[in-house]
Amino acid sequence: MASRRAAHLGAALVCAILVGCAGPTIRDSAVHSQAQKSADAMVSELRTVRLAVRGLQDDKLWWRYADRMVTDSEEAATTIEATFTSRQPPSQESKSAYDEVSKQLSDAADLVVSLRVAVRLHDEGEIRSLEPEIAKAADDLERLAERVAP
Amino acid sequence: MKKLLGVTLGILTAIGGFVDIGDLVTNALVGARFGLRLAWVVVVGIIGICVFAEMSGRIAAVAGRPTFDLIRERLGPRIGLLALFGSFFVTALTMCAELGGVALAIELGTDLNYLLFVPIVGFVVWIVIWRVAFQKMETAFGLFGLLLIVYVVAVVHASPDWSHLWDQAAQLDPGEESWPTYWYYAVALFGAAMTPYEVFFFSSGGVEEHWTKKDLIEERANVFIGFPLGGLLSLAIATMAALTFLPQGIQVDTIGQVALPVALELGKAGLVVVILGIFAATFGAALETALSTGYTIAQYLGWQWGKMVRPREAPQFHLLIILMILLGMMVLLTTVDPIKVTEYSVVFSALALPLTYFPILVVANDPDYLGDHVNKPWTNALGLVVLALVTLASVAALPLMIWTKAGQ
Repeated sequence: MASRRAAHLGAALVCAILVGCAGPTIRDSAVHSQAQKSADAMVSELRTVRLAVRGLQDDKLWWRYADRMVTDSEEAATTIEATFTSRQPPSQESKSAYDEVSKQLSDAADLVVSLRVAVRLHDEGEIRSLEPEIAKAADDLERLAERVAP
Repeated sequence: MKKLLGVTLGILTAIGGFVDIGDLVTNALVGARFGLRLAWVVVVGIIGICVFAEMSGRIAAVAGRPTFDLIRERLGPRIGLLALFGSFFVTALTMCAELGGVALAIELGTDLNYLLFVPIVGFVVWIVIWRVAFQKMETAFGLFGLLLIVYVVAVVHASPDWSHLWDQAAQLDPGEESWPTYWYYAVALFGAAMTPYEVFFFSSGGVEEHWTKKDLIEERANVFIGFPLGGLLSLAIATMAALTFLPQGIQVDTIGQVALPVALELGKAGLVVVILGIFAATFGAALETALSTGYTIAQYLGWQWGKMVRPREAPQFHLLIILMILLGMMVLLTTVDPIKVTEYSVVFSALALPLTYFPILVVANDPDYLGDHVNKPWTNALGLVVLALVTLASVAALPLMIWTKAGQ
C-alpha cells in the first residue's frame, strides 16, 4: 500500500517536473510571455558580445577569449531563435507579435554570426562597423520585449 | 612561530578552498540578476557553514573519527542510510560540475572545446588523489585558489558607488524579478554556500591529518577566519557581476561571462589571474568532492578508507573514487552543459541539507563521543536556527524549482 502511494507520488512529481520544463503554446498570453523572454534573452546575448568587442578594442581581452565569448553567444542566440520560432501561435492576434519577434530574433542571431566571422578573421574594421548595429538591435529588442509582454 | 605559520597557512588554504564552481556560477548569476539584493543569503550561508564545519571538525579532533562513521553508529543504519543517500547524490553531482568547471577553465585559456579536456581532467584528478600527499594537495590548491582575490581587487579598482551597493544589499526586494524567482535563487545561493561535501571533507581531512584536541585552535581559526574571508570572495564575484551585467540586463550562463568583469576592469593580466583562479578552485573542489564520495560510502559501510591508506589496503575506497570520476566524465561527455549541472547541483544541495546537518548536530551533543567538548548552549541555539533555515530551504527547493521553471 505504502509502496503504491509512493509510486503515485513519484509519478505525480515526474509529471509536474515535465509540465514545468516545457509545453506546447496554447494561449495567446503564452506566446506573448515566450516572446518577451526570448527577446530579453537575445538582448542579454547581444550585450554580452558587445562587452566582449569593447574589451577587445580596449586591448583588455585577447582574440581567442573574445572568440570563445562570441561563439558561446552565437550558440545561445541560435537556440533562442529556433526555440521561439518552433512555437505555434494560436490566433492572428498573437501571430503578429510572433512574426515581429521572430524577425528581430533572426536578424539579431545573424548579427552575432557576422561578428563571430569577423572576430575569427581578426577583421577590426568589420567589428567596428558591426558594434553600433549590435547596440541598436539590442535596444530595439528591449523595447519590443516591453511591448509584447503579456 | 612555526605554529603561527601553520595556522596562517591553514587560514589561507581555507580562504582559497572555499569557493568552488557552485559559488562561482551562482554568485555571478545572482549578481547579474539581483545585484546585491541576495547578499544576505551568502552571509547567512557562511554563518551556517561555519557553525557546522566547526562541529564536524571538533568531532574529528576529539573523537578521532569522521562524521559519517559516527552518524551511522549514533543514529542507526536507517537514518545513516538516508543521510548517506542525500549527501552522496549531491556530492557526486557536484563532483561532475567541478570536473566540467576545470575543463571549461582550460577551454577559456585555449581554443579547444572543453569536452576534449574532460577525460584528461578526470585522469589527472585521479593521479593527484593517488600520488600527492593530502596536506600538499590541500595547501597547493587552496593557495592557488587564493588567486580569486582578483575579484576583490577588481571591485576596489572599479571604485563603485558603495552607498548604492549597500542600499541594494540592505533591501528585501526582488528588483525587476518576481518573488518566487528571488526565493529560488536564495535557496540556490544557500545550497552553494552550505554544500554538504564541505563538512564531510573537512572532518575526514581532520582524521587523515590526525587532528587531536590540541589542533582545535587551528581548526577553529580555519573555520572562523578562513571561511568568512572565503565568503568575501563570493560577495566580490556577485558585486562584479552586479556592476558589469545588471545595468545591461545581461544574464550569466557561461563561465566566460563569470571571468569577463575582471578582464574588463583589470585587463589581460587580470584575465590570466582569474582563469588560473577558476582552474585552481574547481580542480581543488573536484579533488575534495571525489574524495568525499569515497569517504561517505566507505565510512557508512565500515570499509577501510583514507587518501593516505594505500590502494591495496583500501581497495573499495579507491575503486569507488575511480568509478565516481569515470561516471562524472561520462555524464559530461553526453555534452550536458556543466553550468546547468552546477545550477541544479546547488539546488539539490539545498534539498539534501537537513539530511547532512541534523545528524551532525545530534553527534556533536553526545558526551560519549565528545566528553567535555559537546556543543555549548549558544552553539546549539545557533545550530538550531541554521537547521530551521536549512529545513525551510530544503522544503521550498523543489516547489520553487517547478514554479519558476528553474529560475527562468
